[in-house]
Amino acid sequence: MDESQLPALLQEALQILRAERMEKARVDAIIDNWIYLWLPDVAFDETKYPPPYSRSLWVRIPLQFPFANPHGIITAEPLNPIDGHPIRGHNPNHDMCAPVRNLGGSQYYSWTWSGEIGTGPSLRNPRDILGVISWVERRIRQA
Amino acid sequence: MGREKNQTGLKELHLVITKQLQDEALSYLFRQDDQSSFLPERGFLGVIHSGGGVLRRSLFLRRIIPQQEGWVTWTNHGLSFDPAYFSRALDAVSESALGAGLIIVHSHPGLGGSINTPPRPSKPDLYHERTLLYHLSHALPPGSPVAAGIVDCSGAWRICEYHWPRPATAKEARSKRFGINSASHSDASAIRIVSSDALTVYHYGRKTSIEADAKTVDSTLRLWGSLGQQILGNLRVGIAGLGGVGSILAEFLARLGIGELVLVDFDIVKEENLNRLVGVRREELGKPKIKYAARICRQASTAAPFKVRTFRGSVSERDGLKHLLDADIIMNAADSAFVRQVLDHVSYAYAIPVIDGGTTLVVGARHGETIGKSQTGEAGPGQPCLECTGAYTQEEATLAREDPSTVGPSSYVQMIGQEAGEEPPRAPSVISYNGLVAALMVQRLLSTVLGLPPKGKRGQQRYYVELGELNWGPTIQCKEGCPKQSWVGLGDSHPVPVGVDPLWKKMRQQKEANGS
Repeated sequence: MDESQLPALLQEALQILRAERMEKARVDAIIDNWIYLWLPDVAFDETKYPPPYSRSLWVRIPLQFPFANPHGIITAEPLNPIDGHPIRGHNPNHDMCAPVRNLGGSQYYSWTWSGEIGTGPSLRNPRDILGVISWVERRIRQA
Repeated sequence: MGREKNQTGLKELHLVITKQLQDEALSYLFRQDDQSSFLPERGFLGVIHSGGGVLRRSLFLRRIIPQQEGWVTWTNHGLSFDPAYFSRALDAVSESALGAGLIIVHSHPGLGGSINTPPRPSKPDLYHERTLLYHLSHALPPGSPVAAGIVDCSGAWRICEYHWPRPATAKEARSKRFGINSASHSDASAIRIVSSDALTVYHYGRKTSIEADAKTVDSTLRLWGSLGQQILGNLRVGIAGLGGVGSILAEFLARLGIGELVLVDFDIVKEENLNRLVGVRREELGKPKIKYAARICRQASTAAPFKVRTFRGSVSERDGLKHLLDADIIMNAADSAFVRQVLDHVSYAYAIPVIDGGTTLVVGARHGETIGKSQTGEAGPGQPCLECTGAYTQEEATLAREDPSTVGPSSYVQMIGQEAGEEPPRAPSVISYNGLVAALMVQRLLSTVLGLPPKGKRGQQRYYVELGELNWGPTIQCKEGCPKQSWVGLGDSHPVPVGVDPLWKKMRQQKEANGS
């Protein structure tokens, strides 16, 4: 995916993410206002989820990051917590998966930055992309 | 040296400066301690940014670069700038956001005429500014703006921007085609001075004739006089959204004598709009709202000449926004957090005051009662931003970027009581509340451009539907950590968060499918 056309602030955020947290993170799709950012190594809480405890998924990041918030994640398999409780916002085979369906994305979780577990940290600069990874992990832990 | 069209191809050039910087510039150039009858010329270097709309390019003076004693000296041979000052200026540009450039400003003491008439450069002025700027432009990154300014003691500015073509090869660099005389240049036709409670636009060489229509504006002339009427006649106001509020606004402004309106909206007139679009005709059903609004404005206008420009598009997309970047002041009547966020950024980066308004009505929310509020606010240099005053949140602006059909009932943005597969209900809209909001927005504009009451007010003005009370909101400055005031005058260097408007995209797709 050609990232040179992405807005400068988002390009900077991706550079920071790769340099400091996830070297192999990649942009798999750009649709309207959103990129589908593949995160190869997201930590799952051992007390709440079965193995593997490191999984990959996509998070939808706005092209206007950090002036707009991430919205939704997409996974290849349902999250399926150990206790089997249904996860709110789970939409199997939702249209939002379409841009990464050919890569296996099929489970959409329509989580917003200001969801039920409280608002994520305010986003002000490209470095805040690191907080997005923590938000994804926290959101999965508390789902 | 005659006027030429500059390389940007835009017809107008404005200088934009905050009142605070204007005062700082005048204190640099005209000192109280100058006792001699022969007043020296003074000067400074400043960091500028640029930004363009469809017709107008603006230069924004961002900061005056501090100088040490002896860096700018007045001698028998004229004003001299020390190389150390230029070196400091180039450092200041490299410390600034990408796209920064430089302006060389000097004073013409004792020659103050009218603030509406720019000082005239002397032949040595023209020679020196061209020479200095040629060398500076080659020391700056390609594309950096360079300009020269002269200020007289009335506070009038003469601004000239230069563009030199950049040679691609060493051979070209030696060619006359890239020499000092290869510059194109353009003179500023206006200066806009923006402060927390006022917008002052000085147009050079433009005068709106109101005599022919004096009878039609007689009642307002009694209030603000012919000077006030001329200010309105010289003003270009942008309106985002020509629905219930925007269409009333457009007519109000045309009747008041605003000289030019720029209308941007993508929607069409539908049956459900007939109860609130003032003056709309049934035969206009299915036509773009901008066309109907432009017709009303032309019929209603009292300014001579009067212009109305329309663009069918969304302000949250780059092409729609560009039209509003030509405006001196923007009225937002688009009920979209995405648009509010975009215009919030614009109000600071481009120093264009944005007056925002809207109404939220909730039917049966409390004991079956209708509650809600109409609110207006103004963003721009020195004013609290729309986000900090609660006109929108970043989350609302985020979700407004989604295709409404994909933000389905199983997401957290599902409306309370909404069933799966159900279309989100239309927000209630009543012409009387729209009229109230439009009136408050126009009062705010008159306060900003003419100094009418309420003066010096900041933040939101709110009408509480259930109480019938009009109050001011509690927020009068941006919250701690809000960066927007630091964006003032960044122009195109600031990444305004435009994107794809999902509603307009859907309508475009339908248009294409229908072949219309």
